[in-house]
Amino acid sequence: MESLWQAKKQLEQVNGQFHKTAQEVETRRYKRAGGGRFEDRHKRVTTYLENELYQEIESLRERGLILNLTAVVNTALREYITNNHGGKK
Amino acid sequence: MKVIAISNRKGGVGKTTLALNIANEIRRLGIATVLIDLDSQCDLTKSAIPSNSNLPTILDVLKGNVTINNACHEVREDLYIIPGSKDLDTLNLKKSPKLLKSLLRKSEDLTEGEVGYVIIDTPPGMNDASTMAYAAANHVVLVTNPETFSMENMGLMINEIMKIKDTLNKDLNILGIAANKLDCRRSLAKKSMKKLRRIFSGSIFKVTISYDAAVPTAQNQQIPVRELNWRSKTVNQFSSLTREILERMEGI
Repeated sequence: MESLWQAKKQLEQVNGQFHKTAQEVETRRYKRAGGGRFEDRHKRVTTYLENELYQEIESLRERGLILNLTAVVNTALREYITNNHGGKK
Repeated sequence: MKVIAISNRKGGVGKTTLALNIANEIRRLGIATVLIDLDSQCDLTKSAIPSNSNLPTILDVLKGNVTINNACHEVREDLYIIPGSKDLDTLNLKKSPKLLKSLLRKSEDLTEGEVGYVIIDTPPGMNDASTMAYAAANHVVLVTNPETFSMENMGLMINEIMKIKDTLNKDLNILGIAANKLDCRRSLAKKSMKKLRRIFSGSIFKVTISYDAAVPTAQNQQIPVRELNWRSKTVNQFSSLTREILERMEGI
């Protein structure tokens, strides 16, 4: 039992701060947003995607490589704002 | 291109089975995948290539006799294997632990988006071939069989990966721990899984692979479990485990 706890610490050392399971990614996003309901933390918008881009996204979604389009769009926008307008990460 | 090493020092935990079936599930998503058999027992090669033919092997690649591209043998649409060699242990790899990494980098098709994933079946124990696999990999999937010593030896395995990360491959990470050959009718299996989840929590993949007759049957027929003429529960398990693996890589 002791050896397993030791193994866990070593695993955390190997992965450092970069290890994110899907649950951890979601938990950090939730905490960063200050908790609360999804509807309270998000604003629904309608926007337009270029046809080619839309097809690419659908293909990735069918292949199981994108599970959550909202998360992808939010991540992309966050990066755009950070890289181009010095917004917060 | 991402490189995943399927790993455990202990033999018989199911590394080869996982490597073949995960690769098959990934290629079914339309992503070209290459399997590399680095185990001199060549079980992965025997599982994937029914006939015994004179194909170039990973030994030929490492010796420089053939390129990686030419050694890739197509076994199914979008699934390739570089066969293993029983003589792999005769090659002195101590001086060039990064050899496989540099060969993968130089291979044009693999690095220009033709291949999405390379999955390496590592040998049991810790030898020059396994060191080379971890030096080349981006991620490691640890396979364990919760009822056996493979669980208790995990610390040794992780310690060795830590050393390789420090000396040869600072980008290496452990994607997670996959529990294999789980017979949940047995109380020991349930207790062991509970212990593993309590200690390793999110590092254990949610999906476990059951102990099922489909696996040895598929091995005997040299096919992935999905191609058996009945649908075993392990088909969904391998499919879900594969999605979980891809999801974790997306999250890193």
